[in-house]
Amino acid sequence: MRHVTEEKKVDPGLPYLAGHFPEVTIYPGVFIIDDVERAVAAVTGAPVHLTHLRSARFLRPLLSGDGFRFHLQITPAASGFEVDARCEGPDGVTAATIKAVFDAG
Amino acid sequence: MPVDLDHERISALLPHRHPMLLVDRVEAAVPGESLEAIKTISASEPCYAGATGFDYPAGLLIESFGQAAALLWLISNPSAAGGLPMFAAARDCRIEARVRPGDVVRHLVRLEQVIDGAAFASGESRVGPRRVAAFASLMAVIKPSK
Amino acid sequence: MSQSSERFEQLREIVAEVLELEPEEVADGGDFVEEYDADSLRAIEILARIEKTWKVEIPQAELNEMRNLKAVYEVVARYAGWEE
Repeated sequence: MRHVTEEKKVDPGLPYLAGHFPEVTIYPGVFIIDDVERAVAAVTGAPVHLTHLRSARFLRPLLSGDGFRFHLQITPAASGFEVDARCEGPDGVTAATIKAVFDAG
Repeated sequence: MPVDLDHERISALLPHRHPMLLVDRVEAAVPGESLEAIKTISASEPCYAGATGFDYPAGLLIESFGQAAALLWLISNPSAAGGLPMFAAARDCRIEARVRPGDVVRHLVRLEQVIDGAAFASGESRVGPRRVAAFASLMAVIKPSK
Repeated sequence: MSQSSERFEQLREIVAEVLELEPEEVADGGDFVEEYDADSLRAIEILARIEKTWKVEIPQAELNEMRNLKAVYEVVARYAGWEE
């Protein structure tokens, strides 16, 4: 099992933010799932793709420019990796938790 | 009751806007029960800018299904309209096949329950006859507009 | 196992799944909020899963009472007509 911590930031230049939403900018929670996928690929050194989202909980919104921190627990599984991720917002409070299976390839 | 919502009417219901509005058309709906929506994957979407892969990001596919579920909730409960539907949780979602530009994704959504301002939906997404994703439970809440 | 203890264990599994714990970690009287850090959405999720599992309707007002496994069982038993 590997534990990894990664620092990230909600990039204000991300094109999708303009539409989410015009009046208040909120980092779409689902993007955290894709961020986890990229982080797992970076850590394991090979592409992976989500096959089973066991659970995702979006507890607090992240706003444009917010820094956030991932805590990933990556466990090798039959066809890829079991991943348990917790995302902390700028105040250190948990913003999201993701439990998912990513297959290699 | 036959329901057919084009992109203009979808925009009137959902607060999401380009390029984050990820439902193109609602082709059928029974308020309070079920809905069928279409999302066509395009190579011109921002996720493909400078990308090295061709698979549609899983997060965007889940979001697209979630927006279809939010539409079902909003047409079932007009009093919820005007607020921000927020994705609160998802449980047991499976991505069974990868989706790429040119694919026309059809979301089949069922509204399971609405409890105390939280809605639960389930369903699946297909490309043609093939199931590409299955969603056991998605939960959303409405954040009232100020 | 009697029918009531079977239902109690089934409830424990539902609660554990929503709280993302192992069933043995959910004590009969453990307070969801204070001991397992549950928020109000988790309580709603527990209620939703119960309603679906047993096809029973429980008024939202009961959410306040459903603070631990034993209390949840009592509320569900009342609305599902389970006999002691």
